[in-house]
Amino acid sequence: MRILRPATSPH
Amino acid sequence: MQENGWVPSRFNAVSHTDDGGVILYNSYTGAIATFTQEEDVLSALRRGGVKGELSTTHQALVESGFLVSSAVNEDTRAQFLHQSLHRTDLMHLVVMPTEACNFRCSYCYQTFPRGTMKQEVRDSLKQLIEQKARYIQHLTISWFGGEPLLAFDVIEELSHSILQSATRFGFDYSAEMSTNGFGLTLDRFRSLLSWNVRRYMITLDGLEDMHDSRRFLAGGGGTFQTIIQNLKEIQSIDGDFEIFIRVNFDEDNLGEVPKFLDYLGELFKGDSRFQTFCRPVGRWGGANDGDLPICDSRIAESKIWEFTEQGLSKGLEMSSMVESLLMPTGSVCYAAKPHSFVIGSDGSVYKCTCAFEEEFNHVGSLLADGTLDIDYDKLALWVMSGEEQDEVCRSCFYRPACQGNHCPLYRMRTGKRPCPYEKRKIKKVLHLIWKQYNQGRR
Repeated sequence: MRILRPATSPH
Repeated sequence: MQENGWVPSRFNAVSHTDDGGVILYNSYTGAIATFTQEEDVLSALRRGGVKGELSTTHQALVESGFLVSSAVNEDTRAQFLHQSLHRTDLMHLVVMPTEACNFRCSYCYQTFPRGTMKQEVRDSLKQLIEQKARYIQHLTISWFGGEPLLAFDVIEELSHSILQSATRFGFDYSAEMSTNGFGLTLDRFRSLLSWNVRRYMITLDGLEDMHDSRRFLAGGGGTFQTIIQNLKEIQSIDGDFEIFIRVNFDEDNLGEVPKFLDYLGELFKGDSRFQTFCRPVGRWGGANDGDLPICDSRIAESKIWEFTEQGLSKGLEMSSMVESLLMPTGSVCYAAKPHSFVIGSDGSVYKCTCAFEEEFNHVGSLLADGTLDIDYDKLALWVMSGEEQDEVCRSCFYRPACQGNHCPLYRMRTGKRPCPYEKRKIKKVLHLIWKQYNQGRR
């Protein structure tokens, strides 16, 4: 797996 | 919670890499990740989801938001995210230091009835920002017009005042500018950088003859050479900025865009500060609307990404705007955001920059003491007419990114759903993002 963009808190 | 098991998020989109891998995107978390064929993520994303112990790959899917607990109500998540746009610690102002323009582009929708912002309006605007400064953490100014650089002294005066307020009250200030680039000399550019203007949108519609036949001076005369000269000089300096070179295409210049991208590649290849942004010309309300050779919408939707990919292959990055449009709330138009206003040069207040003549867009005025006198019924039209009234939007994978509000004007005028170009071609866009990362950038 390769993360191109990590998860962010949408808030 | 884990006893409930894990199910695929309804905000996922899936695309593929050239070597058979999988690209996943989630519009609620903004995450984008790639997986090899061997990792077999697609079986975990089937309707039944995953039960029991999570493997390492499954754990990664949970962390990025591609798998969610079956106890989570994603509808509530999206609804709550929409409500959170009503926060009061942000302000975005689109400021028109002048409404005049030195260009007369063939497809322009503006009529330039008003000139430079008068001193009393400037003073009121400074007061507005000073008053809000106590409560906001972020201020973004979008310099717009007309051609903003025709009122460079107004930008200077307002920038100094805003920067002083930012220092005194401790808010974060950033700015951007939509300019035709004709007056963007290196001296001015250095000044603008010192005033925190770091993102620019500058339009070039092809090579010299083509560009000059569409984007010419008000008195007649070409503009291509001057803009290119300015861009070359800007490129020669170190600096933290982004310039989105926008190409507006229609049937007339469609065939020349690839050749033009070759030319841009020779100039800006490998300089990630210069990025491409391709959009089809539309009937945006200008005097020449009836004569514009606009592309069939299906062709236009494909060409946007075809040109973007051609740019990539020439070493030109695609605009960072595309990637941030995919962020949660990233595709919501400023006109739909409660904390965003357009300030006209006469102190009129609007929501949308594309319909200055429409009465429902004239939502108020900036008063002498710096307060905004707003008609909240008109404001509500812009802020409340998205997914609230559209069942299809509420069930869409892209809902957290656009909330049905990518273009409230389009929805009001046509009654149709304003789906963003990115959403319509999401597989292609994800593939391009993967491709760009693979080329070792960003």
